[in-house]
Amino acid sequence: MEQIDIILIERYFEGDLNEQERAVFAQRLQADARFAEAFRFEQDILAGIETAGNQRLRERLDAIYQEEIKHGATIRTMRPLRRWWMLAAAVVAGLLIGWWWLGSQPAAQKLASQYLEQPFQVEDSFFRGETDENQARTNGLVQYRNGDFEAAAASMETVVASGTAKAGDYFLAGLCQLFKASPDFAIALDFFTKANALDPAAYTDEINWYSALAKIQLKNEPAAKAVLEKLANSKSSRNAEQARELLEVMGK
Amino acid sequence: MAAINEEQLTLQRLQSGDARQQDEAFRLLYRQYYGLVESLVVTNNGTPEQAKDIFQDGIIVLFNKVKNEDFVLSSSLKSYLFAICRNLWLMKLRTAGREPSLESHHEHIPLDDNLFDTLVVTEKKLLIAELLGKVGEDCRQILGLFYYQKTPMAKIMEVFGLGSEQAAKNKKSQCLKKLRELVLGSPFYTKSLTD
Repeated sequence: MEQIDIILIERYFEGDLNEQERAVFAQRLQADARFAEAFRFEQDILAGIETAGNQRLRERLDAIYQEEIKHGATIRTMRPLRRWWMLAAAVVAGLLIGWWWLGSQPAAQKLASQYLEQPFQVEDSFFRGETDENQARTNGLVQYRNGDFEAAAASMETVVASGTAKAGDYFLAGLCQLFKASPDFAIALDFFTKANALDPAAYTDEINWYSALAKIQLKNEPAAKAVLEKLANSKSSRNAEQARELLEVMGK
Repeated sequence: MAAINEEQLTLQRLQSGDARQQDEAFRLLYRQYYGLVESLVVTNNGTPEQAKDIFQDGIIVLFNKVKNEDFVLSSSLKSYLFAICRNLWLMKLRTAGREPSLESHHEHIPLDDNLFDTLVVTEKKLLIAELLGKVGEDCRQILGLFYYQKTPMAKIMEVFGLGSEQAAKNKKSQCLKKLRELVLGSPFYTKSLTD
């Protein structure tokens, strides 16, 4: 086959021929057996490239599926109808529990619950450029910011389990425990303590604030008061005013 | 409105020619629509494992169809993907000798007859896919990017540090030539033609 014909066929498959060229091309396919054979050969080559592409795509999709399952099972694998029923049931149950909880809570716990209704806003600079180092950390941050605290908690637990967690990781892991649907205040507190032990200068104000809220929910008022007093007396704390409010409710 | 925008974004990502963006789109498709397809398969004599395969095949078919920039989606992406997966599951049931009657409350989307050809794997296709692995890593990537991912030449030029789009185009043609020579030199290919 002439080089010029090979280029012509290549151009055809790239969609590079104009209408007139395509018409001539089609006529030639009918009339020239060798040209038609070269055309079919090129079709085979491109089909082979597509098959190789599909094979690699399968590997990518397998990895994505596994990753989604591993990092928080965000894939909705439940039947839609069942899912909606469960969602509705969860909302009703949540409202009932919330009504009971708020009605029976002491004043400090009520106020702390209100403060915990608004999740802490994590800024872009939260990890100080470390986000690309660890995929689970990146996932955790994205999931947290999307409000998927359960998935974020699972991702951050992976980071913690890896043994490479830094103060920021423990802080975020603690926040996830506070804001997920069924909060675990004891675990949150444990993560905050570890964050503080690793780097006492990192996120100090926020860690103190959320530790105090967790302690109130755990009914450890003396410990919560000690932290809140520190915040209330600090000139630089962003949470000083709220700390004073809580102390007031707790009767100082 | 938000859903429409999200779908448009997903479509743009699939058509971007950029593997990272495409992976983001795939991830989103899994999150949004996997449950729907799993439900279809599992409630019609299938298993979750079969649902996983059907959904993966569905995404491959969808990707090969929509990756071209000139593709126009006439329904929602969700309906289109669901229609593809539904057809795939019907074909699977028929192959297994069951005459299915899938009930669906989703809109009917007409699909091209040759839409599923991409999933048909022949010995010839496998042989060429294997020989693609022997053209050298750069060539394999360039051919894959250009013909499969539909990555624009300008981007290929950038990724491989080629001086101009024309240089990238020449490189791609050289790689294709190398693959043609390997295929023509393969006794298995010649044999497949006579079979």
